[in-house]
Amino acid sequence: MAKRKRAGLVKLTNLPMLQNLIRRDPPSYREEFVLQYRHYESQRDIFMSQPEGNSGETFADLVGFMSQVTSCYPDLTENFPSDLAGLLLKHHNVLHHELREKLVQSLVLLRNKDVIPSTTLLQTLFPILTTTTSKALRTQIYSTVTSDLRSSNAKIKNHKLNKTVQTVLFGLVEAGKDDAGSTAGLWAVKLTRELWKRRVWDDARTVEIMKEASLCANPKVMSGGIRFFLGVDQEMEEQEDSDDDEAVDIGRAKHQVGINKKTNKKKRQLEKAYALLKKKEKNKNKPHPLNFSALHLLHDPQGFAEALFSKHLSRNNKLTMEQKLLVLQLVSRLVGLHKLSVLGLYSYLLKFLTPRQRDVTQFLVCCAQGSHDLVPPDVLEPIVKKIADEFVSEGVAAEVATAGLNGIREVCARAPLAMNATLLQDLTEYKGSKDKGVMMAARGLIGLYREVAPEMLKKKDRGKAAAMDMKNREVLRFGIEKEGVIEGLELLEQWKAEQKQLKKAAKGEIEAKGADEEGELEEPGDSEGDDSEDDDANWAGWEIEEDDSEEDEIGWINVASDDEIEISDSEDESEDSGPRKKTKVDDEDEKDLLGEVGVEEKQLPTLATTKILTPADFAKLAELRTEAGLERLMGKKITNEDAVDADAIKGPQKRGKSDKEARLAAVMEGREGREKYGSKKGKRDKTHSTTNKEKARKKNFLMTKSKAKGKQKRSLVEKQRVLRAHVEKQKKSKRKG
Amino acid sequence: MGASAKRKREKQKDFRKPKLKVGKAKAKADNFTNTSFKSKAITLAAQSLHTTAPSPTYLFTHHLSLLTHHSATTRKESLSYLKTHLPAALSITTPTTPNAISNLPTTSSLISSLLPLILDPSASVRAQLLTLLAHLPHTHLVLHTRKILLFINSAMTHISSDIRADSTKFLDWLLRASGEEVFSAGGWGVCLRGLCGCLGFGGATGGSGGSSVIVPKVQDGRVALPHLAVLAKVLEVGLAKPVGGEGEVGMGDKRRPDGLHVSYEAHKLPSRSNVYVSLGLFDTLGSVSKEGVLREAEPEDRDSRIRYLIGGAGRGVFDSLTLGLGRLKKGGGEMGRAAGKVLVALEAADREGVAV
Repeated sequence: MAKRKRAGLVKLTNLPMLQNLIRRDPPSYREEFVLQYRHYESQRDIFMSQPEGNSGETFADLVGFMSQVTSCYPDLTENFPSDLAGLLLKHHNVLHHELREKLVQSLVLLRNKDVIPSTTLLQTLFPILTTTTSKALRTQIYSTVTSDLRSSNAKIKNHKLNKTVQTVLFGLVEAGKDDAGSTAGLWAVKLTRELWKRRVWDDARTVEIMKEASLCANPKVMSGGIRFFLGVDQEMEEQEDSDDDEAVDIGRAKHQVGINKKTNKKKRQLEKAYALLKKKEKNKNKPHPLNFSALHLLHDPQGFAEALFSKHLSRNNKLTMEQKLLVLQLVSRLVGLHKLSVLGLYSYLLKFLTPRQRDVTQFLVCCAQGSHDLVPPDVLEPIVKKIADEFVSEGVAAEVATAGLNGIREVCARAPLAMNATLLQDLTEYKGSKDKGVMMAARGLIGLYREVAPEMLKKKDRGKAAAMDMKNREVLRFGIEKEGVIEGLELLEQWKAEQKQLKKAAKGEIEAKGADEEGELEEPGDSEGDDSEDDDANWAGWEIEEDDSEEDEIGWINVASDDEIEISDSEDESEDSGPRKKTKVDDEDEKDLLGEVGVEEKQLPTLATTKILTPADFAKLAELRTEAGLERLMGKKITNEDAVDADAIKGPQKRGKSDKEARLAAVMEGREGREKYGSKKGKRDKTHSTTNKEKARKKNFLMTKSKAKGKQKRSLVEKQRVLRAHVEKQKKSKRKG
Repeated sequence: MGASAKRKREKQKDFRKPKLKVGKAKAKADNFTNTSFKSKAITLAAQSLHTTAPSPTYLFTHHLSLLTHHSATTRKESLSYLKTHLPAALSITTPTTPNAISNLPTTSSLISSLLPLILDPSASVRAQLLTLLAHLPHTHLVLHTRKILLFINSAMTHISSDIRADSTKFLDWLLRASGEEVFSAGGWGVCLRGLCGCLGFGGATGGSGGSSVIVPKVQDGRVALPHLAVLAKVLEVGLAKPVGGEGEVGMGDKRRPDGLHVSYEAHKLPSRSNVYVSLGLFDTLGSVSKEGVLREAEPEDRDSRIRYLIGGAGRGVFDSLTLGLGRLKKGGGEMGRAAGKVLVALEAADREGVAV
């Protein structure tokens, strides 16, 4: 009642005041609200009788007011949301732009106040998105839709909503699928891409929408869908990187709080920064969310690739060259990634493989991407032959030959059988070329075949290691898959054995210490020097160990029936050193192992078959591999799963002798973002107090005179010492720098 | 060369400033050319009268456009211009030719530019508008009743109390202009509910039961009296017995006194606009029927209006009206007397409604 009395005092003259009062005490102001609701209704009717043109300012104010307080009187305002939606849907093309904006805002407000569900909002806005002619409205709706979807998926995925929206989008794309003129799917593509990029959607349904889009007849929709498959994952990573950039500078924030005026706001800001930092730290340790690339989530890639090929690359298709190239890239990528067989692709590619073709490197990339070891060699052979004939011959430019050779290498890396020995030997002749690019490309080819099939190379090209290895190498044959190996596994095994031994030795020493008090124990550090001593130490360790566990002295792996697979734990192996030892290697065996490493390598390491490798094991494995320089030795392994980089085919680009301006521009480009060369002396990059050096330099001469005098009076020995010290110091500083 | 003093003086004469004297004509310049001429007749090829006297049509459109001007004085002045000139201009031309031909503003354009001023924040503009409307001829106004009523309803529910206070004056004008036609197409309920709101009887909630217990606000007599007068008029017009009702004609007679068939009234073209609005033929689907129930027909004639008040959707309004008026009557004074008169009319309707 107190509120009512106050209302008597306050004369209600404007909507914001009433809104404020209603917010505080809805039941008391019901009557006023009803009056305003009727006012709104009459205004709406007036407005509906003439919706065009006029900005309807008062009406817009009323709509804003209603959408703010409508949640207080749900019984009176049932029709309000549908009113707004209807107004927007029916008249969005003739409404004044400000009012239109207001209507969309009000709908969003109603959604935020949970008056209407997300689906209603989206169902209202989607049709407008595709039909409106106003760019401003489209951008507003687009951002509204994306932010709504993001916020409703922020904590947990709202599967129901996602499903609804995805169905709508799918329908939108599918509706215009066979109509080359309809661009309705464009918005679906844009929206899906955005949401995928932000990891709001990352399921197969999303990919299905894009799949449908890439099979659309409209070239714009089609290329949107294809670009999604080709580039969205990279975009996603970039997005994440850019998200990381907005890191908080906690030091700066703290400093500013110390200096600036101390307000509650500043305090809150600091707290917020701390919270953000904490969250980030927490997130750092979190496992990365499982994410598959869009290409991996495809359902029925074979069917998709075939449909793409037959629909867009058939003869009577009016796509431009760029669009065709996009389709080709996606098809070849799919073929390579999933090892599909689309045999028409190769003969289609064949006609584009001439040096005069525009964007020929892209076609070479497609050739390479589309080849894998399950493609019949007789299909790929013409391609390699054509490239060799067209690109790699006497009269062509060096760049062309480089591209050709690199292209052949990329194809052969994925499908080595596409090459025959005579052609290979012809091509390797180019290793003596004077052009660096050609020479490097030819060498790359040689390097590749040294690894996969050295017998196809000329004898002198094989190299020592490959030639020695040839005896126990099987001949390449089509359709045979090598069993997988984990690279560097033998390194891990070896390391494990060493660790075990070390631990055992240490333990043995401790026990020995406990057993015979009289001493004469070799420290591990001492034993390094002498072999015999080392042996003794080992023996001692082994003997004591044998005392503990006599039953497994033989060098066999003791396989129990129930616990044959043991989860290894490389961080904590203390229990391993107990009596329940699985692998015991005799000293003789140990020696054998060290002696015949070469032979041992051929056999498959047993570690992978007996134990499940833990993440810690893999980390150690990676470390060991880098230690052994394996990565560097092998180069980056080419697999059929990766996309081919066009730069790899172009080879090293030589800068031609262009005009002076171009050269100068190139020079300047190189200097961009680098510090100026030259002495840093006397240039402070950070404000600081005077250094000791500066002080010494500026010291009054008369104050240093006596010291200088002292220098002259030095004896010879003293001088020698000082000079020696100086030389020493110089050396040290040089080594440091 | 030129060494003599005379020569020197002559040379310097050109650069000396001529002395001007009051009352004497300025000496003509050396290169003066006489351009005057004599002619027997003067003809002007194009004569612009625009600057001196723009056409009345132009002035009307100009002033109509000024009605949306941001300054209240300008609006008021435009209104007063229209008030002084428009009725006279209309009265000259209207009977024979439509306004569109005579280049005068048509009734619909007049209405659409004048009506928004009912909601004008400035009191003087509203007063001026009212006098203008009173001066306008009522010829085609009936066709626009619905639209006018929309604006009046909007004014009656306006948040500013001044506009609400003035709104009933416009209703009064409309009643005088189009009579019973005001109550067609839902006007009856709108008028009564609006007046209820203006009087502060809390009838605004319509049919909900809780509204009738709300105590009427203490009203200023100056504000409430005109409202009561308009309410009385509304009831009088709305519930007045039709003159020369056809009910008195005997069933046996086939002919009316004027020679037409007895059921002629039922079969002739409807005289009202929008007769079949309750069927919702031209509305969007879904707005007509809610949950399968057809919208209740708005009261169109006297009997249905009484039914609306007594047993229909307007019962709540009726209740709050009787309650509020009863309290006013008890309060006594001039206001009490006016309320008593209205109450009498309502009770008569109640009795009749119960009898029906």
